[in-house]
Amino acid sequence: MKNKLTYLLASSALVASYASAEIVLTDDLSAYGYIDASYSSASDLGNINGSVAEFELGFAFSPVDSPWSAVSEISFKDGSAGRDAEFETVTISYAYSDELSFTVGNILSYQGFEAFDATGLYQFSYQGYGNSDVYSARYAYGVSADYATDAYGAGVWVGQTADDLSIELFFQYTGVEGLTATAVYADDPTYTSYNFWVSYEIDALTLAAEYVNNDFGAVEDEIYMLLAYYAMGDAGITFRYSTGEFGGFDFDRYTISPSYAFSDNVFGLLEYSFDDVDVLGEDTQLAAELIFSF
Amino acid sequence: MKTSIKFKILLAATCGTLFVSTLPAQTVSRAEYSALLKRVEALEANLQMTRNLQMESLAAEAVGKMPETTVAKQDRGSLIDDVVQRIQSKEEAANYPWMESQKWTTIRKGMSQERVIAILGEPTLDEPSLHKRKDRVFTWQGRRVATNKRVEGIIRFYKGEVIEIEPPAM
Repeated sequence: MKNKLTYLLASSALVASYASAEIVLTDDLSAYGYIDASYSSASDLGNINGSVAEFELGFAFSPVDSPWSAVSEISFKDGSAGRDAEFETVTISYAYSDELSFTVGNILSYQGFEAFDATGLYQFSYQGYGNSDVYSARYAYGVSADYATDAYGAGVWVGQTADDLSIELFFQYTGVEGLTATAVYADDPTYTSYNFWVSYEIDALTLAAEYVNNDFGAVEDEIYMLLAYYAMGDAGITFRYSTGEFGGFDFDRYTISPSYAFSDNVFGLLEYSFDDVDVLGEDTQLAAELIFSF
Repeated sequence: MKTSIKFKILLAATCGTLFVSTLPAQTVSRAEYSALLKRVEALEANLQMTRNLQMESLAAEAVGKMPETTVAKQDRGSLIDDVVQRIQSKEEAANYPWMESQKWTTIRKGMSQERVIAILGEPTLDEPSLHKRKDRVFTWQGRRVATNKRVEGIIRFYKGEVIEIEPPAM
């Protein structure tokens, strides 16, 4: 009888784990992504455009107890220059240790306080006038080596443009609680970029400052940005001011954006931005955005 | 013996399910999927009921074989319940260590993700949060072995430290 009870215990444990299983792809494979739906206008409310700005679907493959892992993200954008779908991060990584890892594939540039994906932004738009992304690089194919500890991180990325090498160097300091300081240098046959940013969190307040310098030869960008985000429970408000020269024009851009996290995977915001650009004149933009992540 | 045969059939069905689950995936329509899901849920409920009955039956059999002097007749009922509860408790502890309420009382704000996992085990879900002051959400989900009640516990982190705890309602 004791054997029967032991047998029962072992077998029922197997059944129990099956009976309670959630919808899982596999132990090693997970899927994630988000949908970014937005309405935005330029200059007047009569010109509001609504669209699914992006639908991103990613798969992360991380076998247990293996130093190898892979990530594949596909982004579907609404009419982005005729390319409806494109790769974002598509990488194979090898973790040599907890601190050191090597990656090959389509990798996001180290540049930028402002995240590439909408899920990482404090507001709807980028800091350049007319919602322009001010960084000289985003996704590109190459190899990288990254080293990270609790106090700092460092990385080098090497890619190729035409027949020449393209390089990015990255250093980040996080040794003081709440403080993140980052420096990035990029050297490419078509540009040279310096990017410095620092952010500091004190209780509900986040302060950030950024400097971007892109030398494209014929044109040189030089942009300064200040941002303040204040969290009030699930709500928050962002104030941003950016100024400098971008695309050959001096500009000032002011943004205010209240936001609300409806849950861990639903986030909405409103944005008002005002541009004052030399030669091009003034412009006002409004936006409403709802993001659902999964 | 009757119980033993039932149990063998149950075990064979489980093995069969495991075998089928290794076959290559085939495309099914949404309606077929929904229908299959309903059938699986019904089977799971039946399975749970059968398991509970088996446990009670085996425990009763074990108690019945004991000498009359060992257990008084009036105590046999409570002894069977006690054996069943112990088996279910062991099964739950083996499969869902986080279902022990005491463990949740030791979780504190400021604890690291590693410390939380060491106490509760790996979460069922590890997801990012869109909230600007929460960056990871660990969710533990499962069903109580004895009651089949679905329970869920959630812990939210910001920069690697616990900021919110939602213990499961056991």
